[in-house]
Amino acid sequence: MRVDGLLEKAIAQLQTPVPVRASWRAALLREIAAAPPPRREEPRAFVRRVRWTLHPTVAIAAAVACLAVGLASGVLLSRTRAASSADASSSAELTTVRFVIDAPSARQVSLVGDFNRWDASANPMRPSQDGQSWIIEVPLSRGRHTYAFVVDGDVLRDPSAPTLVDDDFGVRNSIIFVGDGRT
Amino acid sequence: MIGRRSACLFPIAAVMTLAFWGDSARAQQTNQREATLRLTPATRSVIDAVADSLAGAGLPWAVLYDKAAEGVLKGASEARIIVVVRALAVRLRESRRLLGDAASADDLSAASSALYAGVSPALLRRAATTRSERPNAPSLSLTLTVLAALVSQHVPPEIATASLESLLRRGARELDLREFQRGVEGDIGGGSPPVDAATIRTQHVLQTIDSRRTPE
Repeated sequence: MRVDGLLEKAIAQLQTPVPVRASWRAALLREIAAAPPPRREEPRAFVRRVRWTLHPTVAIAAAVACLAVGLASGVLLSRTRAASSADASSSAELTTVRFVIDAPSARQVSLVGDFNRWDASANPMRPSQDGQSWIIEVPLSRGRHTYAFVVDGDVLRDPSAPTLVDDDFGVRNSIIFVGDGRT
Repeated sequence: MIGRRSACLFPIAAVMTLAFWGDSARAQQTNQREATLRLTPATRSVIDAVADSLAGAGLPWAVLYDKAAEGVLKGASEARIIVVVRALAVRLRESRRLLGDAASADDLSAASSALYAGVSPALLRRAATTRSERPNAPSLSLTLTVLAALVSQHVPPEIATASLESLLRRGARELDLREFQRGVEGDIGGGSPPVDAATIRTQHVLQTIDSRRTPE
């Protein structure tokens, strides 16, 4: 075949050594010998360049310190949010509100609402001196809050406060507006 | 020796970074979501998905967890909690559409209550517009909460809205609206027909406002 003949000719041409001057070859070999060895572990090259000199014990101490700062920030943040209303963007200004409910025969009463995630253990109320009612003062952020009382396990609305219309779960909640400032 | 030191720095740095950012981010979400821990993971994931959807739309999502927590406290079934949370999310979206981007989380919650009570979107928007035209009017959330309360007491939405509008136009304050709501609820509780209660109490509060204006 004609193509095969051309191919064989080309291969033979390529296999023929190219004449190189001895001086060029020697210069090239000198440059190669003078060049630094290639880096085998590229990711670690950065570490070597910056030359960290921190002792492991110091590094561990720093890590522990940062952990403590991180945890403290988290706790601080969580307290701030817990103290605020359901709206994360509401003002941090708090107003102490007094809640009272008449329940002379109750054994345990607590206040629940959107300010304590409806947690019956968060705001236990104390009985009044005459034993007729239960009282608690709670700092609330400005705005609209819904709440109820848990009296011996039963959820009850505040009979002395406006009632919220939503009765999604059978028992309506009471509602309070804190610090509107337009009275 | 340097190699050994540097080898331990990367994991330590990673732990430090994760500890700081991880704890801060977790703290932001845990308080909102911890109340739903008593729910099954499947229910929690549904609520999370609805909340994420609201958050993506710039709507208040924390109220969903409050609502779920309320359901847990009141012994509601998980199926019921999911239904309620989803319905609340729908009403919040509708409230945003009606009141606009300037509405606060409280405003949206109050509007949601009004829609729940049966106030039509047109009346809700009308009440909000009337209030916005008064410079020192009570908050929108209070206005809509009173509106919702009246309608839930079987005052027809049209009459409840008109009553509130007349009070707002006359310069009613927050205290006036509270007094109005208390009065209507008291009268209805005492046996008055809802329409009569709303009408009479509107006149009464209007007189109070006028007497405050007129020096004796």
